[in-house]
Amino acid sequence: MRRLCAAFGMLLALATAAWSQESPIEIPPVDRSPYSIGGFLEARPAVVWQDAGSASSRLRSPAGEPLDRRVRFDSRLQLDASYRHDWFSAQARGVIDGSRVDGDWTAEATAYEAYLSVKPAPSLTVDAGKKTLKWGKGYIWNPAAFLDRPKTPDDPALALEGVTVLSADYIRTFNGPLQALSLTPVLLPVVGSFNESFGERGHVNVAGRLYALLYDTDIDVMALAGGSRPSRVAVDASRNLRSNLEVHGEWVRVPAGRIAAIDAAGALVERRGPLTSVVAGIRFLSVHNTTFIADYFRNGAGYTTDEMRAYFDLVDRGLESLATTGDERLLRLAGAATQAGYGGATPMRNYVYARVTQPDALGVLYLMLGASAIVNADDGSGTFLPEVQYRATENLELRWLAGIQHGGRRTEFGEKQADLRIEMRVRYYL
Amino acid sequence: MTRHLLFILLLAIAVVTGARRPEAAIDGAALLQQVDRRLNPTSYDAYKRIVNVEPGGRTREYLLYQVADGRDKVAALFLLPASDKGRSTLRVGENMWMYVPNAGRPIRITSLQSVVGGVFNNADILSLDYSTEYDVASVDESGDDYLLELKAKTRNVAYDRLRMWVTRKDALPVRIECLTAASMLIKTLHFRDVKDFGGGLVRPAVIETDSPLYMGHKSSMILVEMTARTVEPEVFTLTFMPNLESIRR
Repeated sequence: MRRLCAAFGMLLALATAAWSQESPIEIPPVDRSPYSIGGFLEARPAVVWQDAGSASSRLRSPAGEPLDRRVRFDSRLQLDASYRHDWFSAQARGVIDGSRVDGDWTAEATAYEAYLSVKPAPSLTVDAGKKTLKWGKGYIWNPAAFLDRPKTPDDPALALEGVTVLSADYIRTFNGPLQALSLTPVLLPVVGSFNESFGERGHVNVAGRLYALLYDTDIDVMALAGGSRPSRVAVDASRNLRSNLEVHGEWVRVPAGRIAAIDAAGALVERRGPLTSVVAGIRFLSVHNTTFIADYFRNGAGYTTDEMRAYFDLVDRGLESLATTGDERLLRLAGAATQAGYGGATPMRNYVYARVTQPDALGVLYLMLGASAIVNADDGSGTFLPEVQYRATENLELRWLAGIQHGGRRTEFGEKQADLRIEMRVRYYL
Repeated sequence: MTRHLLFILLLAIAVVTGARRPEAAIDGAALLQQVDRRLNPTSYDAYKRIVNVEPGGRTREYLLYQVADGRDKVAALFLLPASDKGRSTLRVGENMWMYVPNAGRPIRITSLQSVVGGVFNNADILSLDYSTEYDVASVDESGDDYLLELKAKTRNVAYDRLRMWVTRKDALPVRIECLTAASMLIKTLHFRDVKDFGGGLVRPAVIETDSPLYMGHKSSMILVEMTARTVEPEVFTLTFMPNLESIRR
């Protein structure tokens, strides 16, 4: 009987020990393949409530067809591929965009990046091909990003199409207040089929960036010359004032800037003169892990309130002229002014951007609640962008985003084509 | 006679007591540096896996390649999952940056944020030597393990205070409590599964953490490989961040 009890006790002890032992963590082998391929597939169904009376809508539909609610479906396949061997590497990023609007399908494939890299040492990299340069410190506005396309305000993290360049990075490090220094010279040809949309053709543009980590502050000095665009210089900086507070800024000077503007006589003319743009912002992390971002943008190439009113007047007169006499000339001029800058993302002088995000919100890991606002400080109009993002699995991301325009007639956001846009994005990483 | 006897007795006691050398006090700073060297070589590269366990039992895993140089430079490249592949983080002293391939430019981040969610923050993932960030305020030798009370050298360090339990035998950390200046517990790190990584490096392979601020959540950092390696200092610069993959081996 004793032996039976002892055996039972031993069995119980072993079972308890086995139960309390944690299951071993399985560690798969590390992938060391020289090839890499990835990317994502995303679908973005959206409902857009149009403002039929806005200047943008009336310019697109001068006949005044009723535009109310529109359902659209956008999709994107982004593929990133790379190959590395010793100090040589090749990288490519391709994007296929597909859209369905009013029953019509459109699709477009674009090579965002495709370049070769040679790295004989970590201190020296030479790149040739199409790539993004990624200059500037602002969150959504980067006037110092001379060579990049502007970011999408409602999704600044979206990949951008690059430019075809020959560039190099030379890095040195030091002990002392100056910890790192790097020089990035860039050659950007606007000839043949290279960089057709960059500016005036027939020029090989020269740009460069000098970066320093000095007294724990990131400082960049940048310049562009060559003729395709007016020459310009810029300085930007970024620094952590506290472990939870970062400040950043950009300053850009274009000594001989050019702006297409509507003059007092109602003609579209080119105005020349020095232009100065400034971005200043902060990023703050609260004790509750909430991130606050605020950026101010002084757009040196922006229009004044009076100039913007003159543009809206031109649209009105053009529509009236078309309706009464059938004359399209003023409307065509308004279209040209829209293309020249009045219809751009930030056509006026002063903007403020604010963003609040709360990761792991409501006690749910990987649930992010956020809201952004872009306000035109000149006319008081703006857009409000609430969003909910959830990482459902490691590679599946869901995002709900709304865009609500605010502003009266003859204000920038009040005259946008859409009053309200609600979008759902489903993105699966490959 | 009695006086003489008493004097001799007192003298004997004094001699015996004096002969017993007081136990040498532990040099806390030296012990902390010893802990640092037991945890990693001065310069190294490593593969680490981070596992976040949610209250429902669901897990999220990250694999990252990490390289460190000296006492204040560390960079990490995310290899898994696909949604974070190519993302890199860099720390030079108290400066931290994150590079996301899609977004482009590296942005400054803070030590208290977490690039992976869960209980580990950026300071935990891009950790420097403890002796770089903390001074030893006291060493308690009364327990089975040494208990080191550490105080942050500057206000920019992620945790104001640490309580670190270190084995007497081999100076390996067993448990670390991370506290605010007001002694509020932020998280606890548990070190387990001592493993031989080669090259004389024998250390805990798993660091588990839990936090009263993340009730029910648990995160683990598993060291897959670690090798002493010295890379060029230019690797630890903002300009090099997009190229971190090129030094991986």
